[in-house]
Amino acid sequence: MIACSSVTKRYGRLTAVEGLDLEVPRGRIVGMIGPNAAGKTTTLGMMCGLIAPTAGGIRVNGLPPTRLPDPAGVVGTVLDAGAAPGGVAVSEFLEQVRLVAGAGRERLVRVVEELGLGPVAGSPFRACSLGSRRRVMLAAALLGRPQYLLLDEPLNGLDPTMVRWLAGYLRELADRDGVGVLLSSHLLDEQSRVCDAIVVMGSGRVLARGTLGDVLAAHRAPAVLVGTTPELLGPLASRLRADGWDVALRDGACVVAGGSPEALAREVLGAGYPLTRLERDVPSLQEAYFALTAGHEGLRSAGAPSGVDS
Amino acid sequence: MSAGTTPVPGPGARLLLSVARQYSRDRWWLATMAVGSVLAVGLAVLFALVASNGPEPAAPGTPGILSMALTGWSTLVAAAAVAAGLVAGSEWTSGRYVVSFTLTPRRARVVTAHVVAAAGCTAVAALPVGTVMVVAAQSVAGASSGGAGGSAALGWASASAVVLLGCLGAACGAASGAALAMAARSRVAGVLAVALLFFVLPPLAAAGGWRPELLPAAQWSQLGAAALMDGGWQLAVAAAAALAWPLLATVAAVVRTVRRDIA
Repeated sequence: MIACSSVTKRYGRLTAVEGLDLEVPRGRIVGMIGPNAAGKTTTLGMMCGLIAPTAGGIRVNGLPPTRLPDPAGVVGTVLDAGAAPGGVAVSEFLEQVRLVAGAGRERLVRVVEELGLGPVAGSPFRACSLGSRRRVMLAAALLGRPQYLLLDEPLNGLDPTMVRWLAGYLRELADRDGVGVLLSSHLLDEQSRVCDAIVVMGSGRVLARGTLGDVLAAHRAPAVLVGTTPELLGPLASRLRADGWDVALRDGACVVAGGSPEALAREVLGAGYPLTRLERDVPSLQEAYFALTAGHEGLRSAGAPSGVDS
Repeated sequence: MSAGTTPVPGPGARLLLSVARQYSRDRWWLATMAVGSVLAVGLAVLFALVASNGPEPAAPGTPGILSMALTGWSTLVAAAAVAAGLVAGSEWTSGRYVVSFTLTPRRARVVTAHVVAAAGCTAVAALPVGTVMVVAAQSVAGASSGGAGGSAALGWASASAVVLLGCLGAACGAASGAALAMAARSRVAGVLAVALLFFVLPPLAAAGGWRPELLPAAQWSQLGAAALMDGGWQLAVAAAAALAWPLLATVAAVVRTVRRDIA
């Protein structure tokens, strides 16, 4: 398991991550979402040893990331889709990574095949499309048969087919090989589809966490939209409130929190109101995201490092 | 171990193999070494022809012939250093260090592997060329002295000095290349060290501001000549000069690279 315990990272007066507690178990996909400058990339950087936490501890299978005896076999990381020499052939780059990872040639062949990199294997990295580059970097991360994958925006810039394929492949890695995945992405639909757990970050802090249901429930409970004729909408709302329901009026309907459609239908019809609309109103991850991260969207770019030389 | 099982090297050896592969497969590094070798040998041959056919064929003497021949060789080493710097630099300019440092979070190992691989590849390429040139220069010197083998012989001490200087030159080039590529502060440290050692101290020494016995230190920038001086301390001076500035730059770069957050 990768475990972050009260992790804080400060750059001067800027706090990028504060008091982060996060766990990535094997065989699970944990999605990390949040606005820009929420601390997602910093968190990933600390988990793979590129960034030293100011406070708190990170343990990967019980060890600090920088003390793993065989890092490539434990953590695979994709932080930057362009982190390879542009003039080097894909096959040569992967061969060099294979040597470091200590993987056999059969592993390289299998990864190249699984990720469909055969057609671009002989091409220089700079000639590859964005989708191919992302797959190359994912292949590099997978060569050592890692137990965990840390992925920073791996779905950005990909076409819908590729997004769907990659999400499915990550699911397969988690289910088939027991790989624990931490997936940072802004594509909320894919996150809600593929992730077992969601962490919502903002301003360097965890705003919500849990299963998708937990996060949505933390935002608001599922509701039922009940519609009737416009002139009876107000009286219907009053009637339902009088019966103990939590009712709000929105979009020409009564929004009844926590009710079941069947019970509400019986009550409305039994009271003699015409029923013109009856549907579940389940909050989406996108809706929850906007609600949870409201006030945390500010770009906090000042002072953050961008590389070795900056 | 079962039959047919290939033992997997340790992480350090695997890293070194991978980095060495980067050098050996880099077309610019290979091209530079090939062109540099041709130039170095060409310079030696040209000088040999001039020295053996000139009006005063024996005039330069054996040390002079060797020194001038080694000028071409030092050109090769310098070119190799620049090329090695480019290869090491591609690690950073391409953003590949993100992959390298996540595969090997102990960054000092990555830096060390680059220095060792660059020095090793440079030495492998430069030493044979240097040997050829020394032998050629020795032959020319022997011929020009009318077959008096004693005066033409390089001697074990001088030969050792040449080999040592070759290694120092390779290490110097590799370290400087890696240092130049790694971080801005290392570049500043390297440039300042070069300016101090090669451009500030020698003129000061030449101006007589130092004790007379330290004047040979002004020849720090002429490593080939220093190698052929009499006595042993000049070689130590040359070695110190060869290693000091890249070491300063490398230390600055390594500290910077190992400790810096990368985001």
